Amino acid sequence: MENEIISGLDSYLSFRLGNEKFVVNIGYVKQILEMTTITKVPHMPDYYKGVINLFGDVLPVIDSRVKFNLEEKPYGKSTCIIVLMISNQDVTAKFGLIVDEVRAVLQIADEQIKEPPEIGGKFKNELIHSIANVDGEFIIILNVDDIFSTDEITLVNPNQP
Amino acid sequence: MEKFQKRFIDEANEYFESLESALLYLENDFSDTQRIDEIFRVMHSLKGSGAMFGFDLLSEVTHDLESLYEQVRSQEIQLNAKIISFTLGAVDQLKKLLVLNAGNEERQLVVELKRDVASLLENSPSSSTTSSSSSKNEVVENNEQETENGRSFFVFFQPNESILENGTNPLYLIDELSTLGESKIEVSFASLPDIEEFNPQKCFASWKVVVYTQEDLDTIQDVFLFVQDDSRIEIVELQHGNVLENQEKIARCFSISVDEVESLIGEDADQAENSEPIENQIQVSEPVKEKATEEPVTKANEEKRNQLVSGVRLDTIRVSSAKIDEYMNLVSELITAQSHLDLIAETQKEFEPVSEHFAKLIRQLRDNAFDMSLIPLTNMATRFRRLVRDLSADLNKKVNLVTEGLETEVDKTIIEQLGEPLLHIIRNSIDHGIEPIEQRLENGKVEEGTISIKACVVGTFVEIEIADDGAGIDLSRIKEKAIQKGFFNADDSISDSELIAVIFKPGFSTSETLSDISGRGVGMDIVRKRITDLRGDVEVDTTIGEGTKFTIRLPLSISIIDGLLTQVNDDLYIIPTGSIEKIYALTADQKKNALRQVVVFEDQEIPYLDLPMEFSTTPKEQKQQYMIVVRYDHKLFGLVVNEVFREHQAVVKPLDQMIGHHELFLGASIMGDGRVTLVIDVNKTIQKFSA
Repeated sequence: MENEIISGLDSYLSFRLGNEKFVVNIGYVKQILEMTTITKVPHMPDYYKGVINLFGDVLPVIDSRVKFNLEEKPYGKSTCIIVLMISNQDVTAKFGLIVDEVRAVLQIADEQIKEPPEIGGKFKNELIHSIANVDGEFIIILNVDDIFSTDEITLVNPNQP
Repeated sequence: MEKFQKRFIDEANEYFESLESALLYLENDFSDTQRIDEIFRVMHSLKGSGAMFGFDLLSEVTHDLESLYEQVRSQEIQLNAKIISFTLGAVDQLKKLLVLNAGNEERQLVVELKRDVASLLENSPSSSTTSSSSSKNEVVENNEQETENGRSFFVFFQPNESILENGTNPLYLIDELSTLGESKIEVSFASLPDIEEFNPQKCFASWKVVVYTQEDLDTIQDVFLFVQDDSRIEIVELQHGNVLENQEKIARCFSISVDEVESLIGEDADQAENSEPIENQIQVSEPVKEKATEEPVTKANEEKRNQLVSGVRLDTIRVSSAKIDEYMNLVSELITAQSHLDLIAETQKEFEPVSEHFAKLIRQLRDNAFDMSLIPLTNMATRFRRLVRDLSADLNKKVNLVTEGLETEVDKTIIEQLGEPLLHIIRNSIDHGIEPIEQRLENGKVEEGTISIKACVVGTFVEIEIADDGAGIDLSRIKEKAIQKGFFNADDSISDSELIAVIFKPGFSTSETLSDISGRGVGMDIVRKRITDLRGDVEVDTTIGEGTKFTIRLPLSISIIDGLLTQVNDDLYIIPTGSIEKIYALTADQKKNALRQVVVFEDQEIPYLDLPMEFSTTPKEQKQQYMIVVRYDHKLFGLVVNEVFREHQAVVKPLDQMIGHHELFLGASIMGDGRVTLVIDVNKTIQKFSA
C-alpha cells in the first residue's frame, strides 16, 4: 500500500494553480503536507526546489508553477505539498508537488473523461493525461507518470549504482 | 505460500553455510561426532522443509545425503576426505537445486548426485568389519540374557507449543519410542488452557513414558533428535531390569512432577547394582530455565551437558534486515520528535526534566540501534576458508589460512559489499602470490604458504589486513606492462607507489595467461571502487620474494558519520570529519591573490574549490571565509565555506531516488529541528573538480 500506485480508482484529488484547476488520480497520492522548510540542493533545475524531511526520509519537492511554466509566486497559507508516487520501468519513487491549494476529492466516471485537445493549450501536452468534464467545467487530469519524461531528472534506483 | 518459500530459501542458504563450515572443520578431524550430527540434522531439515515447500529435487538429494551421513554417524561408514570433498561439491549443486521450476538440467544433476551417493555408499570402507560383526555378536548375547541386560528409562517429553507448525507430529515420536521395547505411556493435558484461549494449531500435551528396552540412552535421545532444541525432554535411566511389572513404581513415576525426576534414581540406586544412575542421567535440553541445584555429575557428562545446553539456549534471534532498517528510521524520527520537545521545554520550564530524561533514553536507544546493525566479520570466514581450500587444491598449492580478530563488528551494509573484494584479493594471493610447492622449496621457504587475514578497530575505522608470504609483486614487470599499455612513457621516472597504483587501473592485469581463477568476477579496479564507495581506502605493500600485504581501511558504519557542520551561503552542509586534515581561515585577499585556485599554506600548495561560488550564482561575499583541508589520494585539497560551526553526528539517509546531479552529496541528514542538511561527498566532489 505504502509504496504502490493503486490503479483503477475513479477518485481524483483536485488542486489549484492560479486560476487553473487540475486533478490527479488518487491512486498516485500518498500524503498531503503543509508547506515546510525546504533544503536547497545545488546544481538542480529551477523547479527542483530541494528536499524535505518526510517522516525521517528525504523527499525531493518540485514547484508545479515553475514546472508548468506559470509565474512563480511566494508561498502562502494555503500552499501545500502533495506527495505523489511515480513509477518508470520498475523503479518507483516518491516526490512532493508544491501547489497553490488542495481542493477536494472528486468522483469522475470514465464517460466524463476525454482525450486532450491536440493544440491550443497553454500547458505542455505531456503534462496532460486527459480532460474531464465535471458539471460543465473542464479540468486537466495530470499525467503523473510522464511528468519528468522530458527533463534532465531521471529515476534511479539507489540500490543499483 | 510464496512468502514461506522465500523464507525457506533464506533458511536453506544459512543451512548451506553451516554445512560448509562443519565440513571444513571435519576435514581436519574426522571423528568430530558433534559436527557429523550437525550435518545429519541439517540434511534432514533440508529434506523435510524442502519437500514441504515444493523443492522436491532438493529434498530428493538431501534424502540420499542424509542416509549417507546416517551411516557415517552410526560408524557403518568411516568418514574420509573423499566423502567430505564429495559433500562440499554436493552442497554447491544443492544451491542450484534451490529453484521451484526445475528443468532438465536440474533433473540431470539430481540423477548424477544420487548415483554418486549410491556409489559412495557401496564403496566406502565400513569402520571396521570386525568391530561391526562383533557388535552383532553382542546383540545376540544380549538377547540371550534379555532379562538381565534390559534397562528401564523414564522419559518426559513436553514439546514446544508450536511444534505442530513445522509439521512434526509428536505422536510419531512417542510411537517410535514405544517400538524400542515395552512401554507404559501417560499423557498429560495439565497445560491445556480454557476453551476461549484454546488454539487447535498448538500442542498442549506432554507425555511421560516408562520404557523397558535393550537399547541405550543414546538411542532414546536420538528419537528426539530433531525436536530437542525447542522441547523439554528429560530422560532418566531408572534401573537395570524391567520396572513395568512393578505397579507401585510405575504409579510413582507418573505421579511425580518433572522437576522431581532425579528423585526416581536415588531410590533405585542401591537396587540396580551396575547402572551408575547419576552418570547416565542427562538433561538433554531445557530451554526454559536452568536447574538451580546442579546434580553432581562426572566431568565428561558435564561437558556434554554444557555443550547441549549452550547449543540450545536462544542467544540470537533472526530478524530481517528490513525490520532493522525500519527500527533505525523510527529511532531517527524519535530524535527529531525529541528536539521538538526540547524546544517546548525551553519556554515551558516544567517540561525540562522530562525532556532531558527523554533525550537520555533516546540516545541510548540510538546507540543500541546502531549496535544492532553491526555484524562480526566472522560471517565471511567460512567463505574465505572454502575459497582457500578449493583453490589451493585446484592449483596444487599448499595454503594455510590464518585469521585474527574476525570478531570485529562492522555495519551489515559494509559486510554485504565487502565479500566480493576480499575474496578477490584472496584469490589473487593464492593464484599469483603463493608460489608452487617446488618453487617455494627452491627459494628456501616452507612448503605451505600462509595467507593471514587480520582485522582490528582503529578509531572509527576498521582495518583489514590480508597478507601472503608468496612471491610479492614484481614491480619491474608491472612497469613493463604499464608502459606497454600506455599508462606511462618509457623514459618517465616512476615511483614504486605510482606503479602499485597501476594495479587498480581498469583493464590492467600482469598475468600472461588470464587464468580461470583471478580472471573472473571483479578486477582490482572494482575492488578499489567498492572500497572507496564504502568511503574506505586500500593500500598495498609488497616485497619481492617475501609477500604482499593489502590493508583496507573502512569506516565502522556508513549510516552514521561524524561530520563538521558548516555554512555555505545561507545553507548548512555537513562535511565528514574523517577526511579533514586542517581548517584555515581564508581572507578575501588571499583568495584574490590565488593563482588558478591554488593557495599556499605552510609551504604547501593547496588547490581549492570555492563552494559558495559553486553552489550559487550569487555567492555570499565575506572578508573572511574558511578553508577546510581534506586529504584525498595522498594529496591535500581545500573546500571553502562561509562558516564553520561544530561537530555533528549525522545519520546519513540516501538522497531521493530522483537523480539529477547529486554526485556531490553522500546523502542527507535530518537535524534536530527536523530540517534536512546535505552531506558533502568529499571524494566525489574533488574527483569532479580536480579533473
